[in-house]
Amino acid sequence: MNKTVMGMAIAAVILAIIAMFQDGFSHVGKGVLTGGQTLLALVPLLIVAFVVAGLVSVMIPENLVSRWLGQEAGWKGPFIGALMGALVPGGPFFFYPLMATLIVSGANVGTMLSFVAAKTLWNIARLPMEIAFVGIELTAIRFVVTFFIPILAGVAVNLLLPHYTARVREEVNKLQMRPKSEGSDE
Amino acid sequence: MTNALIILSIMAVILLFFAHRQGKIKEGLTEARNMFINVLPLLILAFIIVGFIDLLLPEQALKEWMGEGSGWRGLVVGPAIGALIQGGPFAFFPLFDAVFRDNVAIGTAVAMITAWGMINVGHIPYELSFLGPRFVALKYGLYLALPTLSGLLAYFLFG
Repeated sequence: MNKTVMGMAIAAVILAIIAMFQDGFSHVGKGVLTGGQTLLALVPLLIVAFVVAGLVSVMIPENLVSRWLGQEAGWKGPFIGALMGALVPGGPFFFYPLMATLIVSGANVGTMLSFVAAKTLWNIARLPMEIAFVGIELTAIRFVVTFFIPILAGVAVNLLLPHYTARVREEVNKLQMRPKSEGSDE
Repeated sequence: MTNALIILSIMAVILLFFAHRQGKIKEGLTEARNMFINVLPLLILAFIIVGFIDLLLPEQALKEWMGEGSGWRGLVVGPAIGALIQGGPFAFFPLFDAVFRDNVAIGTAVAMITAWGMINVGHIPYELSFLGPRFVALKYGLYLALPTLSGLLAYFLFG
């Protein structure tokens, strides 16, 4: 059992104990049930998400990833990553596996941080919802104030922590139980 | 969510078409299945954790803490609440509209919306499942203070 599984299992148990103290065993059941129901409701989305991530990982030419999102991309990487984040649809069960795939294929961690920041700050599918409920003025202010975060964060991490990518990549490989070799195996 | 399903399905169909032309369909689907099986235990735990967070969150208390946008405190409490609120944009924005919009200052609102998107605790289980603890440490170390700073900036520029 790897450390991540263990850590998450511990977190789940702690939450279950809190729930039990709050309202007895029925509450614990309700928590597990809520989680299970969410999982079941999302099964179609999960299947499609994994199909996309799987196909991307075998079809994506690794030299393309490293050229646009990796070391070779230099300062352009975070821009491209952020633009991708603004355009890509789907929730966490889609874009986290996709990010994992891209990191394994050669993307930099800073660039992926640009991606995930832009996913929430620039996302074109989300902005209409935000305007509808929050209002155009407040949305505009929010957008302007946070506009540079995706780029700055990515550039800073790529510059200041150049070796962190390899360490994260190693961890992603371990989570997916891939062989130790760099990149996705053929 | 339905929209996401439609768009992702279209992407899948396009990818399947190109994979077919490259003769890589089988390899791609095998990869998808392996990925799915390998992260499934983590995913199940992730959903259980998110289920508990959802259940244990004292929504009433959250509303009370905010009260009338209380100056600098809002810049700390606002993002903390934003980071705790679960659900995608279809859950969060209507809630924000109903509960918070008319009760909080501009800076607090910006900090809260930014925190909900950038440092949401409900994402941590998924991030751990797919990207591992080092990524999570870096992301939250880097992004933790940004919602508050964004709120502060909004307050000075537009408040």
